[in-house]
Amino acid sequence: MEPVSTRGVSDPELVERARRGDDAAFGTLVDRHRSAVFRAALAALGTREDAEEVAQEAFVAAFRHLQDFREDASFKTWLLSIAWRKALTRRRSVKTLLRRFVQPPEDAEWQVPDAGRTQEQAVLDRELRGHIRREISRLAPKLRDALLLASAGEQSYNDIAGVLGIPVGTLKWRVNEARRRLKARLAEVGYGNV
Amino acid sequence: MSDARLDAAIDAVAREMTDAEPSGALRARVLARIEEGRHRTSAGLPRWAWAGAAAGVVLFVAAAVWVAIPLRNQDAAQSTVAEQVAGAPPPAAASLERLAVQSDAVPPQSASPEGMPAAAGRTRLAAVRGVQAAEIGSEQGFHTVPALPAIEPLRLAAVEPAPLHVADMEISPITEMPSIEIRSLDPGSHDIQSTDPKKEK
Repeated sequence: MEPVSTRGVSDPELVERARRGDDAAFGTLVDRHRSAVFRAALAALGTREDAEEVAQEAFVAAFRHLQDFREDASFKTWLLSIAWRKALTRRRSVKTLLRRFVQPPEDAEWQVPDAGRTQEQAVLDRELRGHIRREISRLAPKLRDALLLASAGEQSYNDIAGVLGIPVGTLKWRVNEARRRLKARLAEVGYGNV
Repeated sequence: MSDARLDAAIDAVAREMTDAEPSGALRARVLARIEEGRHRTSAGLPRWAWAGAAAGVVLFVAAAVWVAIPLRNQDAAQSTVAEQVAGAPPPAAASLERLAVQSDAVPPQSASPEGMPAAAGRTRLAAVRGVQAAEIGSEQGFHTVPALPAIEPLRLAAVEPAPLHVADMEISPITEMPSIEIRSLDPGSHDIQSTDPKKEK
């Protein structure tokens, strides 16, 4: 819950306070954006543990570089860019590659409980969702990143394109291409008529 | 399965894959790390300073080694020569000493017998004394390299070598050679191979 003293205060104002040494103001920024940062990191890495560490590193790095924030983008986009770069660095690390090799993400953290469904629906859908999850994790990283970030619904296409450092048109193409490939692969295993 | 349902399923799964919340302690951990970093920075030098200091130490050691190795080699060479001569001054020093004595003997404003001007001789004398001082210093465990004055160009008078005197000599006569007998070769002998293979055929 955001403290009363910072409720309704804009991000730029909180950034300014944090620059002046107000840790509580930065804490409010952490609270406001921690979900978005964590989800972006989870989209890139696939495991909660890695996503938590990257989110923490991203906030600390953002605090240390607050002076570099120029406000030509929103604080959230700037913060997500930092988190995304850190997530990609971790994804390329040998340790992460080895762990993915030993334990694929779709079998680890990307398992989601069947909340809100009847038992029958859950049984019917579980297999399909398992296939989709597996195929998403097998997509090329660029396509998977675009699809997961766009599907999360946290940010606009403009913001996601800014985080990824690509034009919006490229982002849209990647999302559509990811869908097309997924449907083609699902058709091969008996789902749909693509 | 319809295309729309497949799209919806993909959307749902993709959303689920990132639909998670970080632990509630994230804020506390972030602020703790910021505080920790603040203490670390204020308590000691920042990381880049340590890196710079380490690089400086490495450079210093490298420079010291670079300077010390030639000096050590020079010391080793000098001590070897000294051991070989067993107390006698090294040849280079001896010749320099002779040169110094000669220069001392030359009166000012006069040319040396070899055609060397007196001023140049004095300059060389100073250089010789500097080298000798450096040698004395090295014997005492330190090396002092004195500043050397500018050395004037060396001028030599025309060289007139003494006439060559050849003493009388006598070449002894060649003794008589005894006869030797060479055995003739057979016509079909293959002991000697012709240089032209066609002739052999």
